[in-house]
Parts: sequence; C-alpha cells; structure tokens
Amino acid sequence: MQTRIQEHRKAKNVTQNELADAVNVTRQTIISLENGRYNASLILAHKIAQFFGVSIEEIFIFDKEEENI
Amino acid sequence: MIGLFCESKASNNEEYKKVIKSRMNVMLLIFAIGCVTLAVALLAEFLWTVNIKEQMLGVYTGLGTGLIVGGAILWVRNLRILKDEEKLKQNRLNCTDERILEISNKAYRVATFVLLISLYAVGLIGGLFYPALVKVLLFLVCAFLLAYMIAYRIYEKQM
Repeated sequence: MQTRIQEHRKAKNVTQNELADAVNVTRQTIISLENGRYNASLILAHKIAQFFGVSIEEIFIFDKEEENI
Repeated sequence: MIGLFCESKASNNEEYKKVIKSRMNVMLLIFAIGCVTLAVALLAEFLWTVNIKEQMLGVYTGLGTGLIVGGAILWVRNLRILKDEEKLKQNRLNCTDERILEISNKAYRVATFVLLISLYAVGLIGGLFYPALVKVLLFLVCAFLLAYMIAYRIYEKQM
C-alpha cells in the first residue's frame, strides 16, 4: 500500500525517529511504511493520521486494483 | 530473534516494567529447572547408582549447565534493562512493534513447517533402525497438532 507519510512528515518537519516515538513503533517500521513494504494495522494507521491531524484516507492510499476489489 | 517469546501489549515503560519482572521470574524458573536437571544427573550417577550411560550423563549435565548459565545471563540482562530507561524503551518497542511481531509470526510459521518436515524425515529414516523412534515422533506431531487445535478454539472464542 502506498502512503503519504513522507510528504506529511517533511511538510511538518518531523524526523522518522520523532514520528516513530510518537506512535510507539520502531524507526524501521516507519521506513517500511514509507516504502510501501509493510501495511499498517488500523490502530497504527489511526495513530499516524491523528499525529498529522488528517484523516486515514489522506495518508494511506487504498488501491482497489492492488487489493483485487 | 527479536520477537521470539517477547510479544507484549505494554504501551509505556511503567507497564513494560511489569512484563520484564514477570520475564525475570521465568528466567529464575529456567535456572531452577537447570539445577534440577544437573542434580538428577549427578544423583543418578553417584547416589542412586542407576546404570546411566556416560554419553547420557554428559547430555544431562550439559543441558542442566546450559539452562543454569542461560537463565542467569538472561536474568542479569533483564535486570540491566529494568534499570536503564532508554534500554527499557528500546526493548519495549522491539516487543510491541506490530511489524516486528508480524515478522516473528511469519518466521514461526516457516520454522514450524521445517520442524514438521524434519520430524517426518527423521521418523522415516530413523524408524528403519529404531522402530520406537517412529512412535515418539508421531506422538510429538500429534501433540503439536492437538495443541494447535485447542489453542485455535480458545482464540476463536476470544476474537
């Protein structure tokens, strides 16, 4: 799944470490989310969206074709 | 190896301290099991006069010593984590991070598959020379599948 975490992070001038600390995950998880290698759980997605003050849909791009829907 | 047996839902260091303390108790239990194993081996050899093979005596004493040393080292390691807030936080993240836990679950699945294949292969080949081995390995596979089914039913009711 593609995400806009990096865009939002850079816009807010937040480092990967700071975001990881805020949502209680490791920095490696943030890197994997930004690269699209790992899909966040609903709880983590909610925490990240809350951190940036936006909706989940604005951060996580749901591709229907990719998910075979 | 990060996620092996360390899954936790602690959301802060204070909650995680309780997890570490209970983990230290498990380490003490491992230490005690090691002592019992070593004691049984030594008593069997010197006091009970059981006719124990030299090789098996070595296995029991090695296993006992390994459990004692392993338990003690892990107990000290957890104590050091408990006293250092930064290490505690890092350790907590490694045991609560959902990605690490998913990696761990996937690794478990692969390891379980390899274990079952290995048990079957050892039973098949070893059974030609030691028929009792087939029975033991079949019992282990059945015990594993039974434990899986029971655990599945329990978690099915919880979710």
